[in-house]
Amino acid sequence: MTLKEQLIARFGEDVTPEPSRVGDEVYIVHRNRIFEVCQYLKESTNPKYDFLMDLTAVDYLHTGTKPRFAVIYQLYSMSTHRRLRLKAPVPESDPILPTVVPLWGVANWFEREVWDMFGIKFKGHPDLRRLLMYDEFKGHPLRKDYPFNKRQPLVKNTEPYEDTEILQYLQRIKQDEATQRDSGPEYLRDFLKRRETFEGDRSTRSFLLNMGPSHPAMHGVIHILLELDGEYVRAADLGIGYLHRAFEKECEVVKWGQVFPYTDRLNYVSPLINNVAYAMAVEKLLGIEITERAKYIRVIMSELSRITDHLTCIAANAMELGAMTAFLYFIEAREELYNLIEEITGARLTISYVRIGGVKADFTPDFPERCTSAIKLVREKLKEVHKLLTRNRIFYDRMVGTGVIDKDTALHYGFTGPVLRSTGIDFDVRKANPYLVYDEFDFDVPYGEKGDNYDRYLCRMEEIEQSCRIVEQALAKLPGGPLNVDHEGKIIPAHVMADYGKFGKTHELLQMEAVTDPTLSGSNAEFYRKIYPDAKAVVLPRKEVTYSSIEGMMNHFMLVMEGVGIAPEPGEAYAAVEGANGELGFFVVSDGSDHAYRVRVRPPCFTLMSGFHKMIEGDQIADVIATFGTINMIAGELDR
Amino acid sequence: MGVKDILGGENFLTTRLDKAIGWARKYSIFQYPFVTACCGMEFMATAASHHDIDRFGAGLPRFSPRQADVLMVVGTINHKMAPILRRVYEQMCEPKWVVAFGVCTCTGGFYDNYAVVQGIDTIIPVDVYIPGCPPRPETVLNGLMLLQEKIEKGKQVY
Ligand code: SF4
Repeated sequence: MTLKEQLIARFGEDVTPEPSRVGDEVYIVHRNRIFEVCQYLKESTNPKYDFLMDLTAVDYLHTGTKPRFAVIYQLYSMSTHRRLRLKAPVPESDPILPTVVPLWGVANWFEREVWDMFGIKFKGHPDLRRLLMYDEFKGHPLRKDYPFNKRQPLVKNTEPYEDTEILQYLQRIKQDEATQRDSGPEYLRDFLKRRETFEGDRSTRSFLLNMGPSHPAMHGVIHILLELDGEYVRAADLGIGYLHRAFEKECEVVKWGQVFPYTDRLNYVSPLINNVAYAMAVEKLLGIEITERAKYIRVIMSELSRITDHLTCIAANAMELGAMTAFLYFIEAREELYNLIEEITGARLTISYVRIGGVKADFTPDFPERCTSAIKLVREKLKEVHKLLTRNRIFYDRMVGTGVIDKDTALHYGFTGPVLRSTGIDFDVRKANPYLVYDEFDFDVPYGEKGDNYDRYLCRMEEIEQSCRIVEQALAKLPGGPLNVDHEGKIIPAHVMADYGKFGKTHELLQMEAVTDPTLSGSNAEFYRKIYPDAKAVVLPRKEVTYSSIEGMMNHFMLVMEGVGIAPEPGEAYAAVEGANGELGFFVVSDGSDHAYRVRVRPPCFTLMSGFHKMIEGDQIADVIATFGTINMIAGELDR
Repeated sequence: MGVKDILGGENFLTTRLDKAIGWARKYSIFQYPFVTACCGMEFMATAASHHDIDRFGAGLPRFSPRQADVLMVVGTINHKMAPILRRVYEQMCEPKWVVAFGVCTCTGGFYDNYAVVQGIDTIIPVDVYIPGCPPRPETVLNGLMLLQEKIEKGKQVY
């Protein structure tokens, strides 16, 4: 039986398939039965959809779809690598549906986020409070009727604190504790009750310790509330949202193409991968296939980004454990890669390099050579750091057996990427659902055994080597041909792109290396005026064209201005890539206009952090630092 | 009564002393890196061997606000974070300076939305603004030198 038949046989009218223009598998589920459907899919169907990739919501207020909200579940089948999307429509008048926390631990945070952002409640959720915003915040910011720049500041003026304010603050904490005891989050209630019973016997009393949000050994803002029993962590509760920058709301305000700069700043250690993931989602929605060369370029740049990410992660981790030398060595290699990336993209870090339908600029002629030498340097540093760390007694002792997580818990909490692989599951999107041209390369997916910090460290070290291999192979195979595509998905050779130039010579013109005067009146301007890119193309014209020809300028103008430019047909699409920390997915919704109706990113470290407490409970307090380091939490992506 | 008053207020001795102290202070900057976001990557790059912030006597970060004299605010500050930044600033001892690192801290940058503070100077005073998204290490060093100048020429508290 197909999945559809199985579902319909079991649930009848409560589950209906929704046709998807882009080929995703989508079912609409009655909200009251969502738990049963999920349970059935997780445990009994063939194939089993046993992994919750993402859970989010969409507010359809402006599209006129009734009911107003829909909660979206992205499921994944670990055995067959297939994806499935469930949609549970929820009316505005009664925004509540059953929780799926008993099935997947990661749903706890996802549902809290949906409550925070959309005001949709989940019946039976153990601890439904705000996640990204603060308690004083009124309203639900991702609802369409919340103005995107309505601020609710906590600090109102520039006057310094008065002593009385501090006293009031202490008073408030006391009061808070009293109310927490009766009505606070479950975890805190438990703790306070437990503590009361211990009162008087101070030797066995556990105590609370705040780590963060501004903590020396935590690169990234996060608040960990630890319950300590001596040196040991008994329980932990995490607070996030200290870098919430309204990425998803911001995407609804700007144009499709203008989202790229914001994606740079999600996981700012590997911005190119974010660029690629977003572009892939939009291209899926538009139904365009990019050119072969652009695919290779994207792969090369993604892998370079992955290397910088792992280098930074290990460097910072080692530094926090006291190994400053390793930090300096790796940053040196990273600096070299930054220079390389800068040569192609024009920026070191916030690159905005990928475009819908292609990339911003082609490789420079000496790129392969420079890239090879950079890879060589990375390998050298890798060797040196292996010598410094891998068998280093201190490092070894601090990493082995700490931050352990087992397979089942990791899956329960939706872990992906190196952290999941360290437990022994070799799930990697590049292998499981190959995208771009990853299936053409020969590379291995390293995985661990024990799921401890040391395994994660080794996995990352090995992944650097594997990424180097991919880059080398891609460079060797790099095909020629055009870089970008037009709206219909046809390939425009560079010379056709300029065909609209009314005078001859345009053919040779584009074969020339572009050395342009940045003004309209430069001595080369005559040539560049002749270039007239197709006004309907989705790809922004090259910068030198924009700056040097009126046609290019107009083309650019049209693509980024209100009401024209890229406007995919209404529809929804989900595309995922293997980010440096795990599956990075973009779910985009279009209503047919020139800006996104909703952009949802599935951040890999969000799920990792939602299960972080499981990794540190039982460890010593110093191990929290080591574990936090190997997770490689990036706040920009976590809080968005 | 401060040391200055003991020495008899503004006179040749104290202006010389001011100069000497200014010179010393400018090369012994202990910074508190309040790192939140992407700008932190460039902060790291500035601190590491290529750009080597140590050359300017600002290599040693102090992770307690009470021991630091320059608060480096590196990265976006949102409204949830604002009270924390404010408290860290309050906890620092005089004399203290604040550097706004990155355009997010200067003006909110391109995050003009419900979550982000539109410039940290709406919550704490700022001495040097380093624009850029993120600023290149060279810009950071330039900013640091401006700060040194300010420290040297400013009125010395002791
Ligand atoms: S200024 Fe730019 S790079 Fe720096 S924190 Fe803000 S967005 Fe990130």
